[in-house]
Amino acid sequence: MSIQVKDIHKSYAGTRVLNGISLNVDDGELVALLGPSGCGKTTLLRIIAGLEAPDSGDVICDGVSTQDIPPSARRVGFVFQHYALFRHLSVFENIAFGLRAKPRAERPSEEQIREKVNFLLNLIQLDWIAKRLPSELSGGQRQRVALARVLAIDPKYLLLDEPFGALDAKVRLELRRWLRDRHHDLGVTTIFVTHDQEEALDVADRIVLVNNGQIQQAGSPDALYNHPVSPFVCDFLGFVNTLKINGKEYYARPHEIRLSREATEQSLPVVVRSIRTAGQLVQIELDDADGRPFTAAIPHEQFEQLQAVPQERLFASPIVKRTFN
Amino acid sequence: MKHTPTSISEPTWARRLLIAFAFLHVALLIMLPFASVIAQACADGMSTFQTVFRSSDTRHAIKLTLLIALCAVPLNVVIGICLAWGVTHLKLPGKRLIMAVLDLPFSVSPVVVGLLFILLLGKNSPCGAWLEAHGCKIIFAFPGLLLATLFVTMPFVAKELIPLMEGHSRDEEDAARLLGAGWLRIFWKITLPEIKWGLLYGTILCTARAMGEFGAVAVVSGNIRGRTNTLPLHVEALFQDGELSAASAAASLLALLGLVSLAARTITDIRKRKGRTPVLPTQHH
Repeated sequence: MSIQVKDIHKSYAGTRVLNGISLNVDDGELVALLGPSGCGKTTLLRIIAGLEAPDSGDVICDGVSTQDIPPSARRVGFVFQHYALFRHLSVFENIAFGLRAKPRAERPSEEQIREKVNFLLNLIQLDWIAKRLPSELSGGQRQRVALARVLAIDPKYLLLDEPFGALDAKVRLELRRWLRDRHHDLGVTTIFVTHDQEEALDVADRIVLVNNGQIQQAGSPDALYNHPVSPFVCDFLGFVNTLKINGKEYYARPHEIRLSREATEQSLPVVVRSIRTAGQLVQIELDDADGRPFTAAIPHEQFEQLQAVPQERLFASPIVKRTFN
Repeated sequence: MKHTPTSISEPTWARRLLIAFAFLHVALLIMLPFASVIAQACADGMSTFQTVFRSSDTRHAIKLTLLIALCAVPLNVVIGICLAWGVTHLKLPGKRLIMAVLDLPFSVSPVVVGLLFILLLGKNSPCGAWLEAHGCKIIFAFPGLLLATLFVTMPFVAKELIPLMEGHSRDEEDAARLLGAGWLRIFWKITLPEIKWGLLYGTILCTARAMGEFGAVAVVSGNIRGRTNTLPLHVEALFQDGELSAASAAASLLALLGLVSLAARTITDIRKRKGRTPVLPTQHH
């Protein structure tokens, strides 16, 4: 299923939350809606699901406007940030809920329901907790149950609100991989909301960066990371230094800075503050002539050739000449 | 669970004095009158009970009280659920007004409520005259008693449910809707299990008040014995006749009802608290 979001506007009590958002998601794509908290990304997701109505604009699925389709008929798989599992129903009944809620004519038999739920329990590798209540599960388990519950209705597309937000770091990494693999297996069009740029870079086919209710940039992780269109995008996707050389501001990530002992036309005299050699790259803290700090990260081999020590004077130049004017 | 830290700043004697005072207060104001009602009723042995509960007037009063409760409570449960649902789920412009109206029966004296119904629906009002001309008697008859009881007991269920429905996250209902469930299934399978203990608690409060209500009912009843006297009114009537032990015997039945509802309330209140313990996302395996 492809999703087209057309010029969505939404205000709450006079505050603009979404200000003209347009977006195309292709069939089978895995898209991340990325942005700082309060940027409107969750509202956009809820509008796509039909839980909120936009003030203007439309959401089109496979060429059909969803304006008049009630949320219960949209067949959307929505996974809530805190999962919203039905706390008084067992894991099995949670997953079976969507099947039992089908209109009588389409409702599968008890036998079919059991088969489907068991299949999904196997898929999420949790067949042994079918009888437990949500309160007896760990965060990661609840996450997977919430996903199985929406997969039961064969959703046209999946919408995930901060799917890893409530999990600790290790479980988050595991589940990230797992979700990406499931997406590859199932091929369901998926949009997920996150404020974590690393998560978006790691999981998504395409990232849509939202701020102040508007799309700042949309594209592949590579495009956003390496070819940001604005300082905001550049800064949001990872640590970035600003280097002032000959009156121009260059945006360079730590690994995009070259250090040498000879001055070139586009280089900045710097003083080494500290050096950290533990890690994949050697992190070097530097100050420019005005005392502004920035960080360079260079491979160990380069560092061995350079042989820099604290308080030494060096010259820094950006490898990528990235400027925004 | 939070533990209230025991204060150690007050000296022991002060604490003991306060506790003793509280017990004395309860004993003097509640237990003593309660015991004296029972004692008064039993003063002439069990025979008083027999005479009182054999009298047709008493029996009618009991039946009427039960009938009113039987009609008023289910109606108020339905109205209460609808009101609470509406106030918490819809973006109503008059939300504050509804909340204020829900407080009205608590803040206005029941006698005034009764009087209001007489003024509105009595013989001398245009509305009442029209109804009477069409053979429909409201005041000094069962419909009036029911209306007064309905009004006085209206807030109990709604007031109990509104904080419950407000407190719990709407995500579960949204999740059910997106899984294809209609409103009836959502209410039955998701909302109701969430609020059931609060609903039961409110229903018990409502029932206790419906059976015990005096003021509003007294005004609209007209005190016709054997016809429009409810149990509380009957107690009053017996008392006015100077039949102190008979009044006490009838009153002890009311007191018993009160005790039963108190026990039921305590049990459901405990269950309600348990049921409300939120399921927080844990971060451990």
